[in-house]
Amino acid sequence: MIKIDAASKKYGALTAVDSVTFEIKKGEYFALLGPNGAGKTTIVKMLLNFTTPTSGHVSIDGIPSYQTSARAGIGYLAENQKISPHLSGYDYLSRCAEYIGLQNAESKDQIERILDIVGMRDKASQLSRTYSKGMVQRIGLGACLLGKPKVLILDEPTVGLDPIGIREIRLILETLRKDGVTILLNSHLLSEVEKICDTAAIIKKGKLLVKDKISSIIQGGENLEDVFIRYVQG
Amino acid sequence: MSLSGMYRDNMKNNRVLLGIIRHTISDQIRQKSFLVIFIICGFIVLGIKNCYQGNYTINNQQVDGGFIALGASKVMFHFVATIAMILSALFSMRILRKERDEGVQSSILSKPVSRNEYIAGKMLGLYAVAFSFMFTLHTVIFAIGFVKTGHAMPGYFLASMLCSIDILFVVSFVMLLSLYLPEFACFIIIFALGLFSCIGDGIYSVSQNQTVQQAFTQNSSQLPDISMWKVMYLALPKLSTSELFSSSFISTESFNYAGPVHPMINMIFYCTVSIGLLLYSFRKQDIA
Repeated sequence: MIKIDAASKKYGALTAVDSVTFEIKKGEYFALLGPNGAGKTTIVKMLLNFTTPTSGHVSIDGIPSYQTSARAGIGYLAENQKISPHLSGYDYLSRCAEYIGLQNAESKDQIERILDIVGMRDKASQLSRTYSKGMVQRIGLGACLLGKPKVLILDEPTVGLDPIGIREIRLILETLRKDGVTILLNSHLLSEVEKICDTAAIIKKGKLLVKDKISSIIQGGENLEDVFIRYVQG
Repeated sequence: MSLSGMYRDNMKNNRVLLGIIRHTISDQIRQKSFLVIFIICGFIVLGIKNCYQGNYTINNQQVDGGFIALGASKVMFHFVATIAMILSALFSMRILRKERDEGVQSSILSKPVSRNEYIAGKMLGLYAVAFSFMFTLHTVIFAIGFVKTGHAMPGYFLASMLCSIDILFVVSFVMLLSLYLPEFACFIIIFALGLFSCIGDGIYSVSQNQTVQQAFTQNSSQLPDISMWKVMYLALPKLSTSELFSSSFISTESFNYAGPVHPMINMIFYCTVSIGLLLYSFRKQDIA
């Protein structure tokens, strides 16, 4: 579904991503882990064509990421999700629906359904400047779910959420599993990653250290946090 | 791909582009700065109706009301066009940075929307706002002149539409500059271009005076070399000259311009180049 083949990204003398290769299969819940500045966000940017790889290839569903059609089935939640302060949550979702080409009636139905899923129906008509960080994240996640995407790219989706909110996001993601949605999750909340994802990759200084099933990389009585520290500090 | 598939894709792309244009327009016109400028300009434009009420006498001769209306309307035409250009520069210099900071760019471009569609939508949206601003106020000036004097100036609307090429250039050029320079620098550069064009037109207009030409011919040995300035004047975007050309349609006066390239062709050339460079440069930029 997602294929990154020997992709590198250099900013002058700095190598943000160094010949990274991995593949995410259809329906897989994949976690991209690494310390700050490891190159996770750069990989996400290459997938979305926000930046061009210096070398290598990135494709989604067989379509090179530089083609507009590669983003047809993608939902993306940014690390620091923002909504223009003069828009309500409903307006924002409505605009996003328009950008993915949903017709009015279809768009209205989906927005109503999604507002229920993310628990924002009551607040949808309020201006986003009155929203908490968690509410903005929920609306952002809602925007990702518009158009029934095949791939979700979630960059720190639980930032700013309380434990109940985090659990709700996890439950939403779990319900998407039966629809065969592929998820790329970029998160520092390793306990949640362990509960949600099947596979993980750990990168450090732009290099891929490991990529395998989470159950395979955890040894003995370890948890994912122990594994992460072992690879990053080792 | 089948024909129906291509048609569906085209329709979808057009819907997306129209959506971006519509959202850009609604985001801009809700800004307080736009409303304040529009109201102030509205009051100034309405103020000219007093010009048509008095009796004007020059050299003990009564002047025709239509002549006064024409003069006042032409002055206001240039005033409104200049304000519309300043307004479009103010909006264009910050739109891309603001949308990047507010996460709008990443939100739109993570969808199946191409960068060209995004930039075209923003550019056309800003153009539509500034052009509507100018055309509305020009219509008010036309209506006041018609109601007060009974003289219609049918060329006023054509002049307004022709003048909008300046707005398109300002929008695309300032958006291009804003990819690389701070907002203030973008505004200063476009302001300097406009001012240079305006001063150049003034000098050109004076130089056409026979007395001035005679004086220059007699003292030609003492004149400084102005060939470089002349080349610059002729080569740079002719913002002010194209405005003068547009305004020549208001009355039946002829437009005298001795430059090698007509100002409208000059502006079409610069619009094409700056739109092309804007699309190319934005494609090369990283999205934050």
